[in-house]
Amino acid sequence: MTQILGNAIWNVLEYLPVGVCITDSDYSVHFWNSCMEQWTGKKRDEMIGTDLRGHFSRINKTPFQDRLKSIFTGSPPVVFSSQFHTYIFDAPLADGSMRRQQTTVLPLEHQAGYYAMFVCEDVTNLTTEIQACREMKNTALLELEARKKAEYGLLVANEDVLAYIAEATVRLKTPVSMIEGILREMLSEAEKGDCNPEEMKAIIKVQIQVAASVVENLRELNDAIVTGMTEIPAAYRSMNQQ
Amino acid sequence: MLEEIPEYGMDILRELINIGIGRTAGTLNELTRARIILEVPVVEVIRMKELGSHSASFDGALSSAVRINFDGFISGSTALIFDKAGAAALIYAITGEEYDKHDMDVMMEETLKEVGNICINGIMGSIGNILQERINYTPPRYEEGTVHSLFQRNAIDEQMLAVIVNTRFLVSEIQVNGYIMMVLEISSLEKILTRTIESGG
Repeated sequence: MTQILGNAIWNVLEYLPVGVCITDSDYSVHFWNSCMEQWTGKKRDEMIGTDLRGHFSRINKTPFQDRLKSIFTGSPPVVFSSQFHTYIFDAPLADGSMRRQQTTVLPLEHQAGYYAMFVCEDVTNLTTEIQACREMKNTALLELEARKKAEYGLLVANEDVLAYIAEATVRLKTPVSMIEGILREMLSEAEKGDCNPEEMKAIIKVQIQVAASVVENLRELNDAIVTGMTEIPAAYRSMNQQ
Repeated sequence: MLEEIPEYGMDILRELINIGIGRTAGTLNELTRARIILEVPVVEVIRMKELGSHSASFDGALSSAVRINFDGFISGSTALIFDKAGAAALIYAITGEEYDKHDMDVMMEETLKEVGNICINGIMGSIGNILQERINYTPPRYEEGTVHSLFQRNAIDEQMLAVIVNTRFLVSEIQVNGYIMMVLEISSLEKILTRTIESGG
């Protein structure tokens, strides 16, 4: 039963979708699964019984060695994240870049001590997705900031335009009322028959200028509205500021 | 502080933890380009039922933790715990990325898992060296939740103790307050203290 169970466990390790490698304290390879074969291009026959460090030089480096040493005394498992180490096992992708790896090393007890079981996950796609997601988030945050600024700008411009329209309305109402009043007075005088033609001509000339000024003001107001109410005539801006 | 643990017992515990913290700082500095300083830790032992009123519970706020469970000669659970913002700030400082108050994403969780792994192994390693007994450990896990919820299962047993190690991580210009919490039975703590005394520690 134990043998059957033992074989079943090895079969599970063999076909797991993660890389699995088991070494003794001399880094001599005892197990190399099919996922490792596929990722690294190194066949089981080529690996079993050989020194893992001879195939993957990164394992020889100090940060790895110091932490791996404790595994062979039964210390807690060790994790090597992709952000700090990028990869441990050289496992090239089609474009020549290396698979990013998250590796956990666990102590496996045997009669004479401990083996080290390397369990290696490929996090290349996950990393790419997260980096893309981070970039999207950063872009969205920048756009949001720009939009807030633009909205504030519009709000200020809108307040200017509203102030301008209010002022323009008052300014237009005064001369139009004046023209109306004078024309009524002239009509009344004409009906009474005591009007002076020369005096009337002079009054009408003045009122024509006033009316022309009203038309000009209306044209500027129209232009401001047509341009999206974001620009107001310079004359009125200074008038508002005053 | 628990009255059952004599002062010399606390001294032993502090010594073991200081050795572990020193080893942790060395490994973290080797691993990262950032200069990391771990302040001399404050060590306390409390009963699990008192955890809710301790500052290590972060007043019930969400925390980020890396945890390893163990059983064998001694059994319990050891975790490195930060409040969530502190965990993110620490990872950004260590990796040299710009801190923009992002939530923890999976990549950052994995990075914190390695940092937590180094801290926990530093302390458990120095305890394991003294004990020289078989202890089985689970691989480190990243977890989020209130400190109370992280240790809910352990808290049921009121005989459980929490060894709380409060230290500050100083990286670049930031300071992050973190707790290493070891939850274990009184008998396990007694074994650690007894074995340390026997070994002349």
